[in-house]
Amino acid sequence: MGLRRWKDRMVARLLTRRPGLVRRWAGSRDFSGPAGETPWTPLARPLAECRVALVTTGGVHLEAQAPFDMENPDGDPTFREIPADAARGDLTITHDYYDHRSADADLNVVLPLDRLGELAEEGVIGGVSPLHLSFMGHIDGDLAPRLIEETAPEAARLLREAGADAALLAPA
Amino acid sequence: MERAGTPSVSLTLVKEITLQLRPPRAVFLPWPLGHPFGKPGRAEQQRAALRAMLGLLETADAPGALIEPDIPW
Repeated sequence: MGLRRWKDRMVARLLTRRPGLVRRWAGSRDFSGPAGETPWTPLARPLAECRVALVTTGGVHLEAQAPFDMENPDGDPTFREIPADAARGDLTITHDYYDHRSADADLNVVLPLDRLGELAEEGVIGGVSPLHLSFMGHIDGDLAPRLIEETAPEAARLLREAGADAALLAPA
Repeated sequence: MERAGTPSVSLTLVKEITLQLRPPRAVFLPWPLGHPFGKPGRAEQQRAALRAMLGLLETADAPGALIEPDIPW
């Protein structure tokens, strides 16, 4: 592993242990989105009839899929399609910008597919979407507009086509 | 997501970012990075975070909704 990737991982471990550093970093950067109204779609039917999809930025992917790009310091604006029935042992994480040792031990920490399945069995939700999506949450520089203009609309279209009635988004 | 017609709710671990970005619906949990749904092996905690997100999907009626559920770390 190169020195830069090692450094990225050490910084990630530090940030997990020191939330104050994260808040200071966040407060010093501009995260405001595009100007204008926040888009809004109301829930179309009761939760107990909704098929729910998960969207993670935790860098999860199938072993058989290409890993996220850890060489470009600006990150990787692509995403991976995670089928609901993927064998847990076939899923892995490529992401140097957060400490994912807890998620490696239990994927539900970032992508709670097992828990969502339980809520479907209990009738809290109507079902689990057959498709879930995974991004790698470090996206900066020229890659950020690509995420907003190209990747995100494509991701939204795929979830609609898969029949998801609602999406739960979680960072890592 | 919302523009394509899919209602969404975001979990956040860093409230400072969420207040700037103003996603349609957000659930803030003051947990360490790398642990959006809690600790490994803590199924009840993970379910509680999911339930908070699902609950907000049902109750939020305007963009910018932000809740801070009291789920023990």
